[in-house]
Amino acid sequence: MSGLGMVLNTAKEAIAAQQVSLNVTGHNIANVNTTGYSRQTAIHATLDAVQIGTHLLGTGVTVEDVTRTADALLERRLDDQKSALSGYEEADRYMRILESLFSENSETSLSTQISAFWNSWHDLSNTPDGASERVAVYDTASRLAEQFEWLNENMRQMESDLTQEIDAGISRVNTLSQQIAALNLDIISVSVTSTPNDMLDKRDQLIGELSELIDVKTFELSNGGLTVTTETGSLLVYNGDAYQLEQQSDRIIAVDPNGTGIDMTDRLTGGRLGGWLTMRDEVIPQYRNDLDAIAQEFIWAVNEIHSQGVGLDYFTNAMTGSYHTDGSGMLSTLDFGDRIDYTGDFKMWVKDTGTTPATYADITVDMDISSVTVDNYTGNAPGSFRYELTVTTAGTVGPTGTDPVISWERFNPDGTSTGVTGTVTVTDVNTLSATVDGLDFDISAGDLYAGNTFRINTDAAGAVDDLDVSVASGIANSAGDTYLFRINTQGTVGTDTIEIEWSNSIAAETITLEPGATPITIEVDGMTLSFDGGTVFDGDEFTISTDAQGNATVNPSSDLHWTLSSFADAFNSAADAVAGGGPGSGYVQASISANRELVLTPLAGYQYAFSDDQVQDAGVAAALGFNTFFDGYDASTIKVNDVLTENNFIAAAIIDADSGDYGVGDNTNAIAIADLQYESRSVAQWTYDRGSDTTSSIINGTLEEYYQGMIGAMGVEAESIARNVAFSEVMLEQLTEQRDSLSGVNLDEEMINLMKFQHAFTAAAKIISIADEMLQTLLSVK
Amino acid sequence: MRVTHNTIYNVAQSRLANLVAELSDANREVTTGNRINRLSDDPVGISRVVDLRSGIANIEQLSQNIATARNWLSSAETSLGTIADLMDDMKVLAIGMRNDNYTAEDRINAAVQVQETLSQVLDLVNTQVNGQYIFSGTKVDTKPYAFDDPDAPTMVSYSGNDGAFKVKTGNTSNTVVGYSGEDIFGSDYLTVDDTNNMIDFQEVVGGVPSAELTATIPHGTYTRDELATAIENAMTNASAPGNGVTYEVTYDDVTGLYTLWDDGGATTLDSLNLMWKSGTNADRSIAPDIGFEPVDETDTAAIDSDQPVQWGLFNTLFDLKGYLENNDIAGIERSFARIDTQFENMTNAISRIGYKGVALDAKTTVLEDLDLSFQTQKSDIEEVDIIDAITSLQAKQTAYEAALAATAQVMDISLIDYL
Repeated sequence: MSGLGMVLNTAKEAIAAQQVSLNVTGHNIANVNTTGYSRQTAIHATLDAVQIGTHLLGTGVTVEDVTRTADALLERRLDDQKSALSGYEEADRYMRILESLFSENSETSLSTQISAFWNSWHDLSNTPDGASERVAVYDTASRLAEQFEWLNENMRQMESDLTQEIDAGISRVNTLSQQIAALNLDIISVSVTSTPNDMLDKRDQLIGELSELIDVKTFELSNGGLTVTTETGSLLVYNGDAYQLEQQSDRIIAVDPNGTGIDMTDRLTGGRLGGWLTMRDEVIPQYRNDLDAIAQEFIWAVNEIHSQGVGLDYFTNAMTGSYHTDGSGMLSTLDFGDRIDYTGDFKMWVKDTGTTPATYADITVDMDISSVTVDNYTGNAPGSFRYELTVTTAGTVGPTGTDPVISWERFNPDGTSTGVTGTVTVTDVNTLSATVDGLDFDISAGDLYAGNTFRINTDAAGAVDDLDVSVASGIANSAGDTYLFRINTQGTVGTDTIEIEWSNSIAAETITLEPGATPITIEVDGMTLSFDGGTVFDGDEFTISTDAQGNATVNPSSDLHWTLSSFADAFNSAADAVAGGGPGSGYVQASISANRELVLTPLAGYQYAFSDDQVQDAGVAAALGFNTFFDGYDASTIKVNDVLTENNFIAAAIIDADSGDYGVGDNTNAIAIADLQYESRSVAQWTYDRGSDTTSSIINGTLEEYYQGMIGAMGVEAESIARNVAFSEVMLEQLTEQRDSLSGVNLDEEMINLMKFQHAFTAAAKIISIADEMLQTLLSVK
Repeated sequence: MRVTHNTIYNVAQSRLANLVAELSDANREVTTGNRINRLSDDPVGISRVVDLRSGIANIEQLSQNIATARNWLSSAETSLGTIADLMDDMKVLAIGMRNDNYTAEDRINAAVQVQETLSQVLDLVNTQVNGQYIFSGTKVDTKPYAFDDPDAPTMVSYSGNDGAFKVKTGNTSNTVVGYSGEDIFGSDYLTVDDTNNMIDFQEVVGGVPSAELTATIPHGTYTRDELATAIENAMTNASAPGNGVTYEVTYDDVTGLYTLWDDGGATTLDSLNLMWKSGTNADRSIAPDIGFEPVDETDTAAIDSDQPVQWGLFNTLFDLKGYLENNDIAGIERSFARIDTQFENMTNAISRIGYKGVALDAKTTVLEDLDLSFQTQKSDIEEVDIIDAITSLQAKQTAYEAALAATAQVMDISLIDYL
């Protein structure tokens, strides 16, 4: 097949090959600005030689392949960097909003408002009976409360905005996964015959987009398909299959090939979603809780002092406390129940306006909790019941002194009273004579205080079977807090399935004790609880209090404690004793509202006020919500007590314990409240870390120092995020430069290539022309 | 290294963007004068600034409180100073009126002058600051002193309490600026000497009247309760031999009255005759000091003072007035020492106010220094050095212009132009 035909053929192939190259160059030039485009090159190769006689003659050129210049490793690094940058950018965007909320460049900033609040009390102390000073205290405090609410509301709004963004982000991730899966199928089928450069570019670009949303890992399969997983290994794309993420009420669920859902919320990192999740689940909740902690400490600090003071007038009308207990009635379940100082007293002054001059009397309730122990229960009750035992007459357990009296009442497991009640007079220690409905017990020596109460439960046989729970090991995540445990499903530990709901100041969860060998150990927020036995009924409660280091103490309801009704009874009997009449003669009567708040009702002609300048105040009035300055318990609920709209009740003065009266110019209490600004207090500070338990530690300092620390931390965080953005930008720029350097189109290069292939084309055409001339020459030979 | 056109554009774009951002920051610093516009601009600085700001707010408030304190103190000083001057005048008047040259009528006229002074003193002790009475203890809304009968006053009543109005003048200190009127104008102590140590009386036991008996109270300084005991002992000692009556004398805090009678023991009184006027030692009797009019008084049951006991400023003046009206020279003489005591009380109180003023001055100086130091520190952290800021703005501007020029040059060149 030698001869001119072969030359023509060679020329034809050469023309075709140069055309292909021109085509590729044109494609490169056309895509000079296309994102993710990798420049392509047509690879020329010689065609197989043929043997003509003894010679091997080349047959010209062919285009073996069109390849793209791309470094897969570099592309991955670029994606990672994009992922990091988008995450930081989103965090930065929200951090700026957060910063502007707490901006210190305005007169409305929280710190300015706090200063204004203290100063308004100074002004009041200078003119304690001044109407305008009282209005100023009320207004300044209202503005401060509104600022707390506004900040909290805005942070909540940010959280819900973020949830929406996350929702949209997840839909985008799902769309991208589907597109990648579809592209995978095309690539797999085309790869059999040729290199699908543009499809690969397109897929790389989609991976890049996906990386901007979340951190992903990719693995190329031999068939050309790409497997995409999240950073933590959850499958998103496998060949032609895409696996979806779903958002179910704030949680992100990954549905795996078997159709089972896995909670991915805390495992998604990087990308915009990572940034949003960090803001929503780490940064904002932390500051929101810090703000709550300040608001809470603020409310209590001011209320505690305010409730011990007196305004320009004694109270005339009945008053309902603003805080309520839960169903158990335990005082420790009040919002500030854990702040009550049980070594102190509750004291009320009553003014009889029927005499001239008015006469004063005080009603005092000793809030002590007795240290006597009740144990060694023997005997049997008629069945499985709950008994409530309350000390109704204070006295000393032992052969001497007043004999204390304990009243008891039998309740059904569903909490209704059986109507069976009785009293026990304790005449001596360890006599086993203290019989309660067939039960005997030992009682140790010591003082019993009226109002102290405790509960015992009996099992089916009627034997006493109190819940035996202890903290086996561990440190509570929430320091300086109270954990409340409430039984939702009753039964006997070890025999029945028991559901217990617990809550602390920020979290709540339900734990289940399954039947099995005792002790049953269970993990609760860093502590390991050991349940050794006991019979519990629905609504039974116990608390665990933690100290500043998180060390926990269990307070079972079988220990002596106070409840709302035992306090009301103790108060009423103290009031009756002061009045000197029978039950109901007290000048002020305590009762319990349907919402489990305490209600104080004075008899006609009597007025009342709280505490005085000598009593060691137990803080009970403040905890129950009487004569308080603020209502609420955190940043979202704080407001000035409605009672104070009548601003005569703003308590600048304190009652003189010698007379029960006071001067309106007494500013002792106003000064005490103003002094709170200098007082060091313990406030919990929270640490949020996605994927691990939220923990708290106790910070000591003035309220303002705590706030300064909080905004300082916020500033440091914002600064570090902004720095990360800047750093990632530079990194991304450099990587992009590297990638462009390798894969990008250089127009100069392409122009030269254009000329190169044009010349080659011209030369190949020349071959045809020459071959043609040679053929003409041959044909003309005659 | 291969450089692509895209790289050139991208790099130009991002570098220019950075320069614009820097320029805008520099511009904001110059225009706002603030170095810290967001928390993250200087987190440590902002915490410090917030701390300083609350410190400054507190200092301003304390300065206001001190101003209030000064207001109270200067009003008190003025009132007390005027009262001291009036006491001086009274002393001069009393010394003059003792002179035998004056007639009873002259003395009655002088008594009118004493009454005028009493009215002036009453106005002064009811001084108000911002509508608050400064001498009523903590009952600042209550007028502390009033005459029993505005037309013919014989005594004053005190309606304040024994508290004291205080103002917060330091983080840990309060300054007492108000007074319980009784502390200054009343007195808890009575000095008994030869001028007022006698009680002449007559007791009737078993229907038999005794002779005139004289109880002598030992010299000394007594509180109201101590005086009751001293009188009780003196009268028991003076009881007629054979009668041996044990007397009981009590003082009631609330009513301010003394009550004289027997203790209900073995020997009881039929009646008691207090010879305040007819007694041998009537001119040395303690009657005015324990609330009795200078007239004889007989009763068959416990005898109470005629009026509440008042030792102090008003009592002194009322007594002086009484002595002048009654032409009682000995009484006028006894008044000298009492007026002196009141004068001293006033001057002592004024000097205590003076010390408080000095303490407040010291506090003000400290607060002013602190305020200046806080303000300086705050400016240092928060505000820009304007010269630095403007220089930096100019530098940024120059850099930006240079970058723009360079970019324009580079962008202009392409191989295509040469083909």
